[in-house]
Amino acid sequence: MAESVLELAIKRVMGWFLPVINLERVAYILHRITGFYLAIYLPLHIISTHNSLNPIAWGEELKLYSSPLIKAGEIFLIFSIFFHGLNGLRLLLVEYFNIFLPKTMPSSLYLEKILSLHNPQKTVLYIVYILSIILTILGTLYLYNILTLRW
Amino acid sequence: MSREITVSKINAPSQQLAVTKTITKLMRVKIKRYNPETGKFKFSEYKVEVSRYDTVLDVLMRIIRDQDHTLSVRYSCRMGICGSCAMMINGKPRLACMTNAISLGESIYIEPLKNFPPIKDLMVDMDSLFRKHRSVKPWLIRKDEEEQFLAKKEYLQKPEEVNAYRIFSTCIKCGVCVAACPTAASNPRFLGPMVLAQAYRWSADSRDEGAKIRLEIVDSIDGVFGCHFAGACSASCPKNADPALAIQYLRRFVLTYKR
Repeated sequence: MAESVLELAIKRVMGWFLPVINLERVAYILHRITGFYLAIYLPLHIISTHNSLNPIAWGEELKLYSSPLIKAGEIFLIFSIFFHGLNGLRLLLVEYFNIFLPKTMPSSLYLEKILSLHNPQKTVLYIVYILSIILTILGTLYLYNILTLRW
Repeated sequence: MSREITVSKINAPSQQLAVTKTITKLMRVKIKRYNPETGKFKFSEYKVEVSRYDTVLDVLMRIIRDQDHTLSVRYSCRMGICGSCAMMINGKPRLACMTNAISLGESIYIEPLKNFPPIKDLMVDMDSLFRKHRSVKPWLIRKDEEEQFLAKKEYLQKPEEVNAYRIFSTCIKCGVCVAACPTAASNPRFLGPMVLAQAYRWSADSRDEGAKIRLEIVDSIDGVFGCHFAGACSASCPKNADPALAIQYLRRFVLTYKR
């Protein structure tokens, strides 16, 4: 039974979505989704700002941007930037610099907790989640001129 | 739907301890089955009386005995040693023999293990997993092979040297971690948490001298660098063998290894 490339790709990507097993897995999937989102956003942004040279096309584009779907997309963009950046930093620290690895291994086989899914690695994960949500709220307030920055 | 059945009513206080109360519940069991003749999945539903002490494997065996003998399940030891009965239970990969049935709620939904091709009903083809496992040479490698097989004395180890790999050696190769891993879902060539953890288990052994051979195999995007720490392998491991930690150690091993 031959499957097309698209069917296979969709089937493989759908394999990411299981019921929540742990928060690290949720972060993994969010990291990929936000990564795709940023990769699609950046070229579109460059194309659309290029249109600002033409006043008529730019006016039409501004009308398009006032739709609620685009507004929701903007808020998700703020979340994407902060979450993808902070989680990327976490992964660098955890995976490549290995600064949170336990110094000694336990002698017992019957552990009360799974070492890689507890402190200090879990704390860093919580910090990433909380910081990115706070920064998304602040960024949204700044975007809609409720909050202003004074330098 | 739960009801209590009192097995016997004895009034003497000394015998009251012997009264056993069995709480049973009528549960709906939905099974996603693979038919190898048509190559398609179909669903079967059963109603089973489940007691407080039944595992999901007990429930499946009762279905085979009383209701549908055509259902295929792979199992052997019934006590979490052999690692044969891994399946998706209510969406999560688990061992059927280590999962209490009554605690799963009103109904149980069972699928064949994800990220493996199905053979029939709940059985999956785990050949790829064992082929990958063999590819990282999961055995003791010594430079002097003759000495290894005609050894004059045993290899001594300090307790700390044993602790370095001890928790990773409890792996039973059931494939639950591979089913939970999102990288294994989208990249079938990825070695998977179990294989990488075993590569570390043997490389970290102080008696072993073949770390270089194994590190060259796992040092690729389909090996240790395919992992991005989703941690689902450790969260779902029935033996708490912590493959995610082994992969973190293995990555440090690869990055700091001096030729």
